[in-house]
Amino acid sequence: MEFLKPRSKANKKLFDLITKICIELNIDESVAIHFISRDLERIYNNVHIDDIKLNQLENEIKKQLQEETDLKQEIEKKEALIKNLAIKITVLSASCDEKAELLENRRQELFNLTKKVNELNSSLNEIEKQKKKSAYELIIKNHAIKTKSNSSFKKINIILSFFTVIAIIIAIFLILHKRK
Amino acid sequence: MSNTLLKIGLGVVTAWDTVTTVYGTSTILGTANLQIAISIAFALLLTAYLLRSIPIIKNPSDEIIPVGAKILWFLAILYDIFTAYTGNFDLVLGNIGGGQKIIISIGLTIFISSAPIGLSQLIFNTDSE
Repeated sequence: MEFLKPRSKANKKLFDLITKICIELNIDESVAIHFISRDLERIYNNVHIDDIKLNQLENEIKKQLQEETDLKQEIEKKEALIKNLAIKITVLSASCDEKAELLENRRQELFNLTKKVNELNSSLNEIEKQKKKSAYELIIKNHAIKTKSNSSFKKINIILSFFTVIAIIIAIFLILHKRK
Repeated sequence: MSNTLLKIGLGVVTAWDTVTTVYGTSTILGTANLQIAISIAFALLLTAYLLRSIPIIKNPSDEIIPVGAKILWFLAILYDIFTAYTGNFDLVLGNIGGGQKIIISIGLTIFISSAPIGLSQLIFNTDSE
């Protein structure tokens, strides 16, 4: 009955309540305490606490808590890493934008150069055409002058005509010979 | 002088080309008098056309007549090659037989068919004088 001694305010309240009940029921206080203590003892004896399981559960909880801490640390580390990566991505993105702009400028330059080359090519083609036309006109004019003034050209013409006449005669002869 | 000699030489070959053209055409058209006359007229026309090879080929104009003339020139040279081959095969290489005849005929054809073009080059080229 050591545990039933009034040690605190709560215990005092309990003893005051027992005293009150005993007065109302007109019984001795020791009898009431006897029955109450007996009932409490019976309740205490019926409560079975598995210490091994309790320890296991405690260990499990401790382990879980440790894991939780580890995970929190891991998450913090990853968060830091992600922040670093985000910073790096921002820097790289800025660099990429800069390079894209540079590339766009180069593309524009290349486009302008291609345009100029095409223009030059076109004018070169025009010059080439003019050159061919001039060469052709020169051939025709030169031939016309030669035909008019050059006496050897006239001789060649006469010789060629003579050869042609001979050729025609030979051809007629050959055909007629073959016909026979 | 050598240029004149070359012109005369090419002129002789061109004349032979005309003979082969008359002969080749007559083998297609026939050997009656009218057909012979047509063959001669056609051969003269073809030779005259081939003698103007350089002005025809070098004409830079993109108009229809110069372009058409170039196409006609190409057909003319094809026809000339055909008649030269037929003429040389029958008239020059009559006694030779076998594959040798074909090879020589092809060689002669190339030589004879290029003669009018060469002569045209000599007649019309300004650098040759």
